[in-house]
Amino acid sequence: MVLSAYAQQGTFILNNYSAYNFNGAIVAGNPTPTGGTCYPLVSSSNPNPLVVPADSHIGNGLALQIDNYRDQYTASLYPITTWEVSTSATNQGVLRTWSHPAVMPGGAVSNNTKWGGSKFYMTDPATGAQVPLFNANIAVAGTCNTTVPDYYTCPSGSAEIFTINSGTNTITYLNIY
Amino acid sequence: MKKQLLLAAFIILGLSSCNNESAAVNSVESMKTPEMNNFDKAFKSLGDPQNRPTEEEKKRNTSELSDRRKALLVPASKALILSTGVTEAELTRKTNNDMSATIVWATQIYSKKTAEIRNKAKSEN
Repeated sequence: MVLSAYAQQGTFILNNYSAYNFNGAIVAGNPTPTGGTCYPLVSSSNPNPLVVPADSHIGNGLALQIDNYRDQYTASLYPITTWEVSTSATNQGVLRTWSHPAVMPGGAVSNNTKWGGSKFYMTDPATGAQVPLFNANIAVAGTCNTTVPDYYTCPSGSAEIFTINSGTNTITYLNIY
Repeated sequence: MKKQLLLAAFIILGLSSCNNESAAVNSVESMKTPEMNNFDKAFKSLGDPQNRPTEEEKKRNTSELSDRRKALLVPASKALILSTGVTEAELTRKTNNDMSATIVWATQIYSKKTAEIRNKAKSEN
């Protein structure tokens, strides 16, 4: 669980402090897009949805933590088997297994993407029913994203995505309260 | 009869696997140092009404946590770093009193400690 210096994408931590299960996908993209595009874009594909149970956070050691696309498969409590990679408008949605060279640390995709956001919905862990209004697209502000907010709130809870950057280290947090 | 036995065996399997999992969780909870607890509380407090992003903070075109909210994490981060035997002088030299550097360093320590506790719990089970 060393925060790796070689993966420019940085570390992603999802803290689900809420009483509901998180279901969704997490997305990374090019933080310095050229020509208004976010390529390469990387999204979790399998499992779909990616589930982080209620009350799972750094405090009880159950947070979702990803240091890079590959090593998360063995290190994370919620391993992602397949990533969906889009590198251009004409090269969309290519499925890459966690061990595929295309998503290796130090590779072009790793070096040119940073954690960007998530599309999620919350469910009641007892019934599996969706929690009314507790679903959103959320993304870091700036870069190629101009429309999706980095903060969401509804009667059942709230969610926010933020970064803490120090030198070459960027940690991206998705906190659900 | 055979079916019932099988069913019973599965139920016991199910129960014991749940127990292992909660044992691992409980051990992280119970083996956390006070400094780890405070670091965790500080993070969770970002969701408290008074600590949520203000309208002004929401309008910034960056997702970097605001200085006001970073300041909420700094005392617990410093305490966690110092609890590992790092001296005040070392802390100042390495972070230059930069809030982000302090929080990132503390997060690295926190992750490492949690992983150690979890591995220990796994090997004991």
